[in-house]
Amino acid sequence: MDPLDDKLRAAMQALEASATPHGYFDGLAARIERRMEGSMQTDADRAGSTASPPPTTAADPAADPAADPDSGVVERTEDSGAHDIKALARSTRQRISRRQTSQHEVDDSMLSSSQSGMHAIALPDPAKMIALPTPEEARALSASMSMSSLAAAAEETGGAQVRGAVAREPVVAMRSDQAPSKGVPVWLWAGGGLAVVAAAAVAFMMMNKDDAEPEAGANDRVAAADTRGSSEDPRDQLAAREAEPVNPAAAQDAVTVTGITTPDEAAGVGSGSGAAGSAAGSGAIAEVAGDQPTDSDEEADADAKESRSKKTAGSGSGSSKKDDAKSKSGAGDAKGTDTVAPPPPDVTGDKGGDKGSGKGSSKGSSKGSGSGTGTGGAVLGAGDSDELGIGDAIKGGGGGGGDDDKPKKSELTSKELRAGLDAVSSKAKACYDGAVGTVKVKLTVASTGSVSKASATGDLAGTPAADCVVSVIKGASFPAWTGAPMSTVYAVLLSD
Amino acid sequence: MSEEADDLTRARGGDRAAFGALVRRYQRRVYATALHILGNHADADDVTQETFVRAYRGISQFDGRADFFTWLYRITVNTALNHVRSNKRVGALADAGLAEVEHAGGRPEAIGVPERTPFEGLTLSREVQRVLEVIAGLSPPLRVTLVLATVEQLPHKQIAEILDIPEGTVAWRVNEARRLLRERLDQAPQTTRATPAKP
Repeated sequence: MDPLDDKLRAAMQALEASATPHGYFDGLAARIERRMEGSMQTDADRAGSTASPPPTTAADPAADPAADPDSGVVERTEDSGAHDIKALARSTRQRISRRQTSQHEVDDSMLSSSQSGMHAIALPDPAKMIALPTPEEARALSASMSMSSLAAAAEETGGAQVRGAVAREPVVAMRSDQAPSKGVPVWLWAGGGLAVVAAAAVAFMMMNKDDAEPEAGANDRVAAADTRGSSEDPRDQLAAREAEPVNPAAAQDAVTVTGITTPDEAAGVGSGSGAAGSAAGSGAIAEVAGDQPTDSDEEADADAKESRSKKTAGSGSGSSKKDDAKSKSGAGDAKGTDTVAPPPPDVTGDKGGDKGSGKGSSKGSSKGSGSGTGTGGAVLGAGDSDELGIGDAIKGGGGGGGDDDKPKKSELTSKELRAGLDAVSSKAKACYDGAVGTVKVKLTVASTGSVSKASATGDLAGTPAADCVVSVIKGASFPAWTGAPMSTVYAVLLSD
Repeated sequence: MSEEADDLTRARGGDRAAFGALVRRYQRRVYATALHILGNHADADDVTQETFVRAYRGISQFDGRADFFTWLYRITVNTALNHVRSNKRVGALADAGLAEVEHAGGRPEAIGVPERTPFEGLTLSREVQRVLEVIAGLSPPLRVTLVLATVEQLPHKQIAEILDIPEGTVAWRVNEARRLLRERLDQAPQTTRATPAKP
């Protein structure tokens, strides 16, 4: 017999003797019986409340046995506060049955006059809720708002203004549709329309004026929306976008909103309003990316492969392993985010490999957000678009190849190690399967930044949960360094 | 037909007096099991009462294939584990922040015994208190398995049936719990011994 077992039993007996009150078991059966009665009563109450038809009014004495049949007023026979809860439940059921609501109707005109009203039109899902006007309605609206004259005036100043006006037409149309019923003067809506057109014209002029700064937000967005073009000049991409509809689905969406735009114009809506910071541009981009996940994946893979092949055969001096690795990860990330509208992956692999191998680092650095990190920005766009948003994701896009062939640091700092592990800690916690405990994972990180070895110890070692944690930890990644592999221990508490 | 079987049959038919007889027969064992798992009287009392209430509610579903007390054990253990989870008794580990980010030069060995002493106020020797604290520091699955195997002295097969886990898992848990117990008892300060323990 193990002496430890004896020690345990002795400790438990001592606990029993010390913790159990004298005569505790004498009344235990009676207490249990009382608790059973209470429990049965609660069950009966529940059953009664669900099985019986809900009492609709307090004046219904049959529905509530505590009600006074003569006065019709509920007599409060207890002071627990339950009668308040019952009354609340009764009135709620009553309201629901009559389809009453405690909230007031939303004033549509207020919504449409706010900025959020514009979002509701620009974003994909709410846009679908807007009914396409019939030709008669469109003509009537056009006549009432003198949109034809507005469009003609805008056309004289340039095509972009027309597109800007078209992009905002639904807002104006919706407002004009509601204006008569709410008593808002028509001239106010017309003035608003003019202001919108003027804003679009100013935005267009600013875009043309800013030739020396190719990294404007509109250009970034256009570059992101372009799933095929790999031109370095964002202007070329803009021209290419205007020349052909990139995504029929996005064009169709824009047509649905405006009612009169062509696919070409729909593409223009995306680019033109992107300059003004409108949500219309982002919506179009999201559609472009979201409707072609498979293509994006294939292109991402193809681009990554192309990047690798160019790197091996290239004669340039900017080729680096880092670029190659980034391109690979970019393709992988694009695969993982199909349903979340991954941005176009061409920027990721193609530019990284292309510039890195063929054109050297100097150009890449001038185009990218930092020396050697242009590809990183594009990778970010491919992988994290759902969290960061299109604009953020493409901020660093268009960068050239890195100018360093090897990682510069000689060792991994504890901060970097912690960051890499923290990135997967939430996934590791998800391994909790009901068994509470700690999984300590001993891991070795290779100088490439990947986990080369991991094993679990701790309370739950050997359990499926621990294996799950180990597999998650093995997926952690860290910055590469030049020194020897590093080992550490990472503890994960699994609990609910 | 034995007296227990007779009570059981009548209790399944809704006879509360017969169920009361079953309660009186098993209340000490149920309470003891709950106390061994939870470590304090208040929780053990609550779990004991809740166990019998649940048993009474579900006794019509007891098919008699397993031993009645095995069935009752299962209810006791599940109720106790639920109690542990709801009261976050073991969650003190997480609250103390001991186990979350102990890596990269941290103190993973700090994970384990909670600082709270649930046995304060009881007239227990320090040796007993130390053993109970170390047991309380085990994770609930390990603790429950160890209690059933060592204190209740149930065979692994029956424990597997109660906990609804394979026998191999029972054996592993018992061994792991014993290993941790030895390890921590050796590490814990031993004030009752005349000579200091090995470091």
